[in-house]
Amino acid sequence: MRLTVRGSAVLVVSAVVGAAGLWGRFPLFLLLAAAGLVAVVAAVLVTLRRVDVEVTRDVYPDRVERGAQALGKLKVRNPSARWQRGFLAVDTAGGFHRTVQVHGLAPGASRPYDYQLPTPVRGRMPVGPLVLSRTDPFGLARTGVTVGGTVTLWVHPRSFPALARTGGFPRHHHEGRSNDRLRGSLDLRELREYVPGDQVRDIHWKATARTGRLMVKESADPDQPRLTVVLDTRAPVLAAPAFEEAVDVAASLLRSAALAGHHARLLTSCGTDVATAGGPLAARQLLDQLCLIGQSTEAGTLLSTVRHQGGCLAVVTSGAADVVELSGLRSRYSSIFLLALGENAGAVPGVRVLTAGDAAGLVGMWNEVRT
Amino acid sequence: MRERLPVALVVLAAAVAGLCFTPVFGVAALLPVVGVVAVVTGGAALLSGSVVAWRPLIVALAGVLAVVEVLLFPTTLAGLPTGDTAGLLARGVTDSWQLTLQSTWPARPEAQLLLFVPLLVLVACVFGLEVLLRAQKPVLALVPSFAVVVLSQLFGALTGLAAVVAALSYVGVAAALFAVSRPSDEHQSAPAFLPVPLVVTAVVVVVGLLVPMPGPAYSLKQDQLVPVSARLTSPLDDVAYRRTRPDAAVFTVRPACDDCLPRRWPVVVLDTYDGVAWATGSRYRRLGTELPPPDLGVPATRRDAEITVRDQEARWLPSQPWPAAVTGADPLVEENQGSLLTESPERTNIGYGLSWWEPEVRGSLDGFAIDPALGGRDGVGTPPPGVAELAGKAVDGVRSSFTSALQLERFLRQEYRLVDGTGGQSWPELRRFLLDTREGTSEQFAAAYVVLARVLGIPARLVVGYRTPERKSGDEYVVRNENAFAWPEVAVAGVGWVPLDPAGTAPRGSGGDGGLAEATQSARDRLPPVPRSPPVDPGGQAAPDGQDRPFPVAAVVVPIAVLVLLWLAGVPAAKWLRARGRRRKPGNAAVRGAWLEARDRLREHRVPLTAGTTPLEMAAAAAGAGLPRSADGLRTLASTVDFALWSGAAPDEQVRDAAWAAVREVRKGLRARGVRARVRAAVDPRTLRG
Repeated sequence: MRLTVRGSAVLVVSAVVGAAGLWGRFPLFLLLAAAGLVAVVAAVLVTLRRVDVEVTRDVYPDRVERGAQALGKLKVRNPSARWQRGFLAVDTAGGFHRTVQVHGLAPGASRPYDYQLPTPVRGRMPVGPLVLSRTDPFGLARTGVTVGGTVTLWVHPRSFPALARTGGFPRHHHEGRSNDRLRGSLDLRELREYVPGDQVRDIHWKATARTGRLMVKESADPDQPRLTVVLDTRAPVLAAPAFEEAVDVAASLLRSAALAGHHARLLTSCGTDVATAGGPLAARQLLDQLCLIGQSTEAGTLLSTVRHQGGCLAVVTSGAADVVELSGLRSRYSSIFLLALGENAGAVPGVRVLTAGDAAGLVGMWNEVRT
Repeated sequence: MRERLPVALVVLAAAVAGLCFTPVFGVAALLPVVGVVAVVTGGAALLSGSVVAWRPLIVALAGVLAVVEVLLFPTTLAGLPTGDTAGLLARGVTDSWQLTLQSTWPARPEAQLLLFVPLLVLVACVFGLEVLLRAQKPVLALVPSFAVVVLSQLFGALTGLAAVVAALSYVGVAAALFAVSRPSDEHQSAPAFLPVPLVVTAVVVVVGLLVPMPGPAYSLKQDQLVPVSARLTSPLDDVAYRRTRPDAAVFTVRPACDDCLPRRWPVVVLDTYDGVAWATGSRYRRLGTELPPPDLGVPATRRDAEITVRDQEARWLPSQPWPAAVTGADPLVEENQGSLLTESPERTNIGYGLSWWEPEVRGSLDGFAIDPALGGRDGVGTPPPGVAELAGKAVDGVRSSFTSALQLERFLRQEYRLVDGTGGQSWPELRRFLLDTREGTSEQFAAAYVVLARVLGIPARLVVGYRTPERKSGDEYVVRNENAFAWPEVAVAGVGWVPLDPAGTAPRGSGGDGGLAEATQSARDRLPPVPRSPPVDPGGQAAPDGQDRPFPVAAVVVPIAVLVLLWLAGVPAAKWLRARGRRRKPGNAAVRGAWLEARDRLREHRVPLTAGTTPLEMAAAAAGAGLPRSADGLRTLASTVDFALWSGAAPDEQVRDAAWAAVREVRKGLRARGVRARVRAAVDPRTLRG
């Protein structure tokens, strides 16, 4: 129990006015002081009883997209043998407060409450602790108790439906046709009759025995489909709101690729390198990483972390960034996309440039491009 | 709109604060203008919601316009303010508060006095509303109106029922504002709002009506007086001149009834004497609507008369010792003496209605005491040798009382002779009158009487005025110069100022003085032929001089009785609550509580125990103190305590009940100590400290 600012003000003013009334024998001052002091004492008595309830609080789900609603579930139980007056439960999520009015509870009764937690900012958001407070009707005194710990809510970037566009990656340097569907490390395409020049190790002895002619296995080299997304995290290049859009674009591309089972890799200009083998867990790993990424103030080049090759390369940056060096990567990637936010980016040889104002537009263009 | 209620409450608080000026103007004068200002400012604030930046200006202008329409409508042109209005408004801002302080209260509800109150309310409204609507601080929004409340009390403090009503109104408005703007929007059921206001109301009513409160120690009014030019002819010097022109009419009187015509019309009271000249009082105030009746021991009746002053030079208006009200003129009044003074003598025929309070005296004034609290002791200059001896001889050493005052009057009447002419009132002339020639004018008789009375310690003052003529001319009495004379008055306890007549020129005209003249004459008739000491107990009317009040038995005994009752009932109740709390604790805390309870019970009965005593040692100590049954209980308790504390298992209900049954056993054992020891133990508060 403690006095609010208002209660303290009433107490101090009453004391001062009462002292003045006693000194100068002003009846009205004495009466006002008496009223104020009695009101404060009564407020203290009203709020003297502690909020004595059992509260469990869950947040569901633990990972949400930015802008989506997370649900807080509050279960309040009165374990004492007395009626509990209603109180307020205030939950803190990030910088936001959610207030739940808990009604009076009979002894032993329990009641659930649901409330929505706002998630306007990407990142890891601590939720809690829960503050249960009760004030008197005139706001002079309040009693509060902090219950429950802090849970973390992951606010992922927004993901728009995107085409799982990938590029092949020659895995065995096999000289011959390549296969863009992964079925094995060396893919058998057909059996054919031996022609001079075929390697002896390719001879399929069983078929040769069955047919009486020399048969050889014709193999194809499977391309491993993969997508590499480079996110520009340099602060001078993208403003904060545009950066959030850029993160959304990267999240959309990577999530769809990972969920399609393709290898997806996230690179940022400040050195992050997350390589995944695809699958739902990989998607979650990528989104978690994107959830934590912030802009770096260090000057650097966009492609400093690009040391790999093969597959499809998507570079998410602003139209103002210097992207000329991208054309130098043509030989290492099957296809290169430049997704530029905002301004109209110039053409780069060998690179498909997509430009839009926001993430939704950019992903839409990504989906429209035919290869 | 959600703001509507807080805005209304802030404006209401300012209006209540404005009505706290009730002791100054009366509620009837304040209510219309304060109400209109409050309604207009509140409405303007709500309507100007779309032009927030201009709101203070709009509200202030609307409020000023409301003040103008209510108070200054005669100066406007069909409601539109003119230059006169602006001038009056400006003077209202700068002067009206001071004019009000210079007036007697309740002050006249004139615009030039009243203006500052609605303007203060307006300022409180404007600032309060801006704080509320801009800063969203409802508590701070009450600061301007509270400042107005404080100022109003510094002007004139509310007392009694009015103070209770004002306090409840202001607190009620503030509470409503607090309730509608709570910091947390926690839902509160309607019954939750009830207890606190009821308790606050009860406390305020009880404190305000039942606890006696003395009047305020300070008012801004007490140092504010109307400055009066000192260039006034002393009316005392005029008396001789007036007697040379006996037929000139001075004023006419038309009494409301023939029975209530006073015999004398005092014009000015001369209170201060420096050995050379007499001076009037200097505490002049504007006369308000009404003066209260004098606080005397006898009832006072209100009388009325119409007076028309014919004298062109007159600045002093004929009055009465206790004026109540003046209509038709706006004079200044000496707040201690009742003299009326017009600020300028331009007008020739001032007609005004005078009301006054007339003390009703029944019976005789014989044996009454004097009343030094009324004043009348302002200097006798430096009396020449022989005067003090003469005064002592006049009363033959009798103690100061009304009897000795009458003896002094008789002495002057019998030993001195009245002549016409100009006498003079400085000490050399008075000495010649008193010690040498023994003949003087009526002014000298009066002046000599006053100084001799003061030498004897009798409070007295010199009054100049007129006697009422014997005959009516038409339906009014015409008072002429020939009726002018001077007389002394002495302060008598419970009656006030009693006029005496040492020159033997008592008004033989018509009229009565509410029995005062008869009572004085009766006392005069009962004077002993030879001066003697007055009776020791001067009758029931002779109030003591207020210093030995009865000892406030109730005020001392009641709080002590309440404290004793609180102790006798509170300590056992606290112990019962403590035991209940210990018994209800969960787990082995209840068993430990049983141990502590038993220990405290034994300590109350003076069984010697130390902090580290175990239950078994306690049992031994109890047995040693001659309490076998308690010792048995303690042994049972010891086993339960050992089980609870050392077995490692949580004690179940049975163990806890066993522990507390043991405590009951201990208490039953303690009953053997006898009633006296048990009562002493029950009210012993020391074990509550731990």
